[in-house]
Amino acid sequence: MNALRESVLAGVRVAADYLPPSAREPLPPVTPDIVRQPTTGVGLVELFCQRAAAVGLRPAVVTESALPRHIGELLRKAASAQAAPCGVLVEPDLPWRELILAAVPDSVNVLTPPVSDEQLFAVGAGISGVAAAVAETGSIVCVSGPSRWRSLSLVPPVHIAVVREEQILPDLLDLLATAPPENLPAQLVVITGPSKTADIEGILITGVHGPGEVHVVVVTAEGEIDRSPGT
Amino acid sequence: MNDALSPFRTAVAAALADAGLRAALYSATSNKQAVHKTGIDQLHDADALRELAGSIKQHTLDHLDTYLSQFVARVEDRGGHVHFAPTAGEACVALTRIARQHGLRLCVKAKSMTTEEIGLTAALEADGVQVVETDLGEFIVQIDHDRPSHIVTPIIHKNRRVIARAFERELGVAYTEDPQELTQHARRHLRDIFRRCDLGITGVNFAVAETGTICLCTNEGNGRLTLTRPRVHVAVMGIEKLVPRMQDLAVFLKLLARSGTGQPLTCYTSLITGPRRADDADGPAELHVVIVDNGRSDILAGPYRQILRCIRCGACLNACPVYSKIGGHAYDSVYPGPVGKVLSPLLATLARYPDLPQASSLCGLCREVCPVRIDIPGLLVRLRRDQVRQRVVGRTHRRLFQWAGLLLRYPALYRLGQGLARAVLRRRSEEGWVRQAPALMRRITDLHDLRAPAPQSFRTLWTRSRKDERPA
Repeated sequence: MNALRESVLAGVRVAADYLPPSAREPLPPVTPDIVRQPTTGVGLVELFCQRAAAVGLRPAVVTESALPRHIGELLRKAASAQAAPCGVLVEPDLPWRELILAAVPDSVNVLTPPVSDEQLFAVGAGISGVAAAVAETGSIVCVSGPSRWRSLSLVPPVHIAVVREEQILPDLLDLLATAPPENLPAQLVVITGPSKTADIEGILITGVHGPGEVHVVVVTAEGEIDRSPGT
Repeated sequence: MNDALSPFRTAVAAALADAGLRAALYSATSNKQAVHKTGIDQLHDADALRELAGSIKQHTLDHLDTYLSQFVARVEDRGGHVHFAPTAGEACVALTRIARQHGLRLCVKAKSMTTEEIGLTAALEADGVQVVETDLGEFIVQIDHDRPSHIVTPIIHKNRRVIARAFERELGVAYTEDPQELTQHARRHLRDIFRRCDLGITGVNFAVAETGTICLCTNEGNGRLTLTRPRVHVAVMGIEKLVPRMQDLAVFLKLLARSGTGQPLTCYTSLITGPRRADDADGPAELHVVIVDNGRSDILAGPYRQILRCIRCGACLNACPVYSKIGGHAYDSVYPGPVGKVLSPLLATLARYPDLPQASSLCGLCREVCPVRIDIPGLLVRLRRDQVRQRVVGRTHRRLFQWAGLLLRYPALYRLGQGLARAVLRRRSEEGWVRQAPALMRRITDLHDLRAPAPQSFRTLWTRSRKDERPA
């Protein structure tokens, strides 16, 4: 095993020396002026919602007091779209968890991880918080952790993500340049759209292996107007 | 004249005669050219970003030994296992050993060009492991016993009727041509596999040296399931996948999906740093990274180094006037299209792919769309030169170029040759067109009529007009 390691590393060392050090490309800085995409004119929440909608996520902006009703409505729709009784998987440290749980319709059965594979593959929706959101690309960011289930935003057909307004970053560079190298989660996933494919004749189909419906609920401070697109 | 066609030319002739294939290719590639443009136009300074991406990749390659060692150390710090494979065969051995040691029997695979290149599926199956491709396109390729023909959209050559017949035959479902229903059949079939699988194999889009992170860009969710559900996750990567810093990912991610499919990012961009932590809720308990050389360090040690910058976005395939007519299978390689014309002969031998460097008009569209600024036409010209040196090109071909060289070296000879050709072609022309030219030029008129040459050459007219302008 170590012989193979040495063989590959030595081969690469010799190969890299094909160019003398003076002829090699220096490491350029990641210049923010080039990498960052300017976002003028609109606020972060509005830009995030526009971009998220453009990639097929379903964004909505609600105040804290309107949050339970909004999620209750989403779950009711999810339940009525399903033949089997609907279960919802709720992340243990979901923001506003108690408020949200109180609004779950009676027709929906609440499950908290850990659950069996049987249950995981049968539930109709998963509700989670996010680690961040990115306005430029319209993405939400989920990470693994002790109470963060990777499967929750992946296996059920519907994913509902709760985003606090201040979690929205302007640019992808903000997420990656500030990620602490020593403290990275085992998995960080940037979600930019529902599961989709265009493999068959280029026709767009959603909900291939992951959720076909991803609702992103941005929670703003009280008193701000509802800015969800399409309302 | 030698009329026996090479395998490549035979495949090209077959592809050109297949109207269905040409229609599928035309619609797919022209659509992808349009979305590529939209995607890239969204960037405020796309050229500067591509320049930056190219130089970061080139820097990484020029110091690859440093970054590779750093990456390996970080992966191991995090509790990942690293395996090295000088050749495809040794990569397969590493994989089968992992499967055997852990008693893994059911493998789910996300789409990966490197695993195609090393022939991994056959090796695992020979060892008794069931391997299931989970990307929709690759799944269809697998059940229909076909080969992928594009590095991003593998079944660009297949229409829904062919797919419908394969599903009916192999999955036992009712015949349907509806893409939505076909997709749901695949989902149901694969869900059961995802519940039971114990080994997940993926490729790697980028590997970050400073953190030991691997980055995977996927759209369907099968990639995420593959690196979430099984007990053991094995990522297979070529040595060239590295980038130095986490922030470099921002540069490449902004270009990769835009160049390939026009999306700002693929639906799922997964960053994996080590296996599941002790207190993590779920995820694979073990992470293995298999680092494959398989000819890459030989490319690194020479003038073709920059082809290793390639991030496999597929933009050059979609832009190429040759690929969009003949499709991927004609190239007879895992890597088709412009990048494949360079990579395939270099990873194998020049003699294995004698036609590929020639199968280009050097129009330069591939260089224009490349997000990491690879000079593909320049590399093709260099390959042609090497072909001549290694005597890969045929005698007729070499002799023709020797003659052309003579003509170009001696102006008098050039004028004489041109005058002769003009006389012969004009004598053969009818109503301004030559339908059948003599000797080697017949190869041209076999394809299309030639316009008859003008009575006088441009050079003659030019000289005369200069004389007329001159004050008497």
